[in-house]
Amino acid sequence: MGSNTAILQSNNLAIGYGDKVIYSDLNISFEKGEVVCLLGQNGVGKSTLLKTLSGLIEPISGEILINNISFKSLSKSELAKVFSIVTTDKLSAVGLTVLDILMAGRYPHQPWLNSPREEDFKSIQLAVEQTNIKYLLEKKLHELSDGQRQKVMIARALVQDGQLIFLDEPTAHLDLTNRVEILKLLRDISINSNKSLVISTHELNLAMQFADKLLLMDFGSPIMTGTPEDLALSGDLSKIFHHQGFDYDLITGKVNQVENPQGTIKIEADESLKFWIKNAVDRLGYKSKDSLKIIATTSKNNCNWKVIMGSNSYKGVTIDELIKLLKSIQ
Amino acid sequence: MIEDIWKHHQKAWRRIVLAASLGVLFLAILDLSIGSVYIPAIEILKALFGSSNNEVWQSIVIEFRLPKTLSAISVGIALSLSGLIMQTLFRNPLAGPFVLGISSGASLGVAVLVMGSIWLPLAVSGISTVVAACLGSSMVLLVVLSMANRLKDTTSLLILGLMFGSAVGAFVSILQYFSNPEEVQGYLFWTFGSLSGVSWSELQILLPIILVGLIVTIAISSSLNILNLGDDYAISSGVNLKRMRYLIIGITSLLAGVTTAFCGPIAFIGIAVPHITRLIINSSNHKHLTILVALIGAGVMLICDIISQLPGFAQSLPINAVTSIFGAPLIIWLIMRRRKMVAF
Repeated sequence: MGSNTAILQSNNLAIGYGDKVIYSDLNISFEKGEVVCLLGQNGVGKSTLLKTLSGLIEPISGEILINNISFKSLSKSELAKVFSIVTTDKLSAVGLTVLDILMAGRYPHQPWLNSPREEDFKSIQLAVEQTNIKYLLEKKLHELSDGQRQKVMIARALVQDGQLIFLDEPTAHLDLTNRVEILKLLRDISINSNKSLVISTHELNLAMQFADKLLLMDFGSPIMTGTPEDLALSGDLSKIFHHQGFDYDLITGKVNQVENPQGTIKIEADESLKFWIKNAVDRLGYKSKDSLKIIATTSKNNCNWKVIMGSNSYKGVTIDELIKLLKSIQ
Repeated sequence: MIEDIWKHHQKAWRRIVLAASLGVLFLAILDLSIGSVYIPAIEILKALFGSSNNEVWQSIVIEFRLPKTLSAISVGIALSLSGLIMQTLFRNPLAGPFVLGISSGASLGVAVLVMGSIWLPLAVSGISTVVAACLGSSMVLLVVLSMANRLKDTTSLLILGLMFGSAVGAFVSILQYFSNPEEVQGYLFWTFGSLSGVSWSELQILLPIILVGLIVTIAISSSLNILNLGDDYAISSGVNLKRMRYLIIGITSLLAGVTTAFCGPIAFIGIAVPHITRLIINSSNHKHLTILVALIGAGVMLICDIISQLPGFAQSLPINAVTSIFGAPLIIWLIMRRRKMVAF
């Protein structure tokens, strides 16, 4: 990694609160235009890393370089011109309009006491168009829905006009429609504006579809870095998601629930029947240690099944009966 | 398009500022004409420009009423502004110099000065009262701020202010117990609050400090807007949070301290006026709020002074009683509708 192209780079960084070190020896670099996702469970230290990198928490040791200049030698207002943040704070108690908030986003660029200039209006105009929030401009922040508010805060971060935006859990608290919309917006920003985005998230799907680079964070192990694909193929991704009770499906890229680490269920049936039996078994969450085999056939729209478990075997019709049997086995 | 919306808002705001300024001017003239003798407005204007034919009126206006009106305006501006920036600093709609015990701190400073002669043989003068009041108020503000960082909710903060108020009250009672009657009387009169006790020479201290406070508050209004968004946004926008906190503490203790020193502890103006202003312009954008809060603060204080004259009676009420009688119900109303109060 060429240190001359990185916007942000850390050297032997140790992060944490007070004396408690969460991660140490971090050597991370963010390149121009790159989308980086910090991926891990809640409480693993994503926010701490994000806050340390964005200067909200002091690092325990090590240094951070911004465009090859030490973080510490830069003033707060110089830093504010390089990066901006979108936090998880809900900010409902603010009686400011969306326009007021966007104007406040120009703070690092405005000379003292000056009224906004041409370039301030232009920058706000651009961010408003990018995030499509023109219709919200004169609304109060507390009148907005969660999704709208998130868009406004992203627009605010854009207005600050840095090279890098830190986003802490940008899709948390959002419903599915809003989540998709925010993701699409972030992708458009990364493609069209050549800004780097550093996003903390616990949503694997988001990270996989989206990130140029992943920082995988897990309790008690060092942070792993790489492209999502490399991390998936090397098995690092499934390692993290496996012990959470999930399994990362290498073929479909989906996370599956694994609640049956010992016992397996083998289903022998034609394709559609197999699908529905599997559906029922997955829903049931089979928890027994014993492996079993289900052989099923259809006749006259009925399901005839046979369950073989060790030396025992059971027979029956309909999935309903099958479920009852599986429940009794557990 | 953005520029048009902004200019439109700016224009609307300027109209309100103009209206408020005219209102303050009108109230000031009314305040000058009302008193034990009624002096017509036209005579007031003549007296102000030194061209009145009536020498008694001339001297009443210049020697007595003008200093009182100017101190009403100063006190109104100072308390309202310190209320505004404290509400922003604490991110709490019920913060204010009186509620948080800042005024009590100033009272304690003055009480120690006036009645503590047993331990501290200090000269009671304009300057020493100001210094004592400012020391007392900044001390309480620092303690409250250090605790407020740990407790985020409104109720605890208010209880804290209440506790400070009663602790200070108790300490003042002990001082009174050990003091001679003249000193106690001097202190009691001070606590009633009075705008008429301020002389021209004291105004020479009061006015510049208020002016500095007003200028600094206007200068930091964009930072105050960002402070409203929370610490994280403030830091990442390049606001020097520590410096800003100390600056706000400094201005607040100076503004609340100096007015309390000269005019006594005047309640409710600090907390009420920012709310009245926000209701009027329906916004908490400090770039618009600051000047209006100052103007409306001055106006409200003038109204209170006019009421305290009891037009038609020979007597006048202590100013503190007037602000409390009108301020207390307003605060009760604010607390009652607090659940709905999202935009503080």
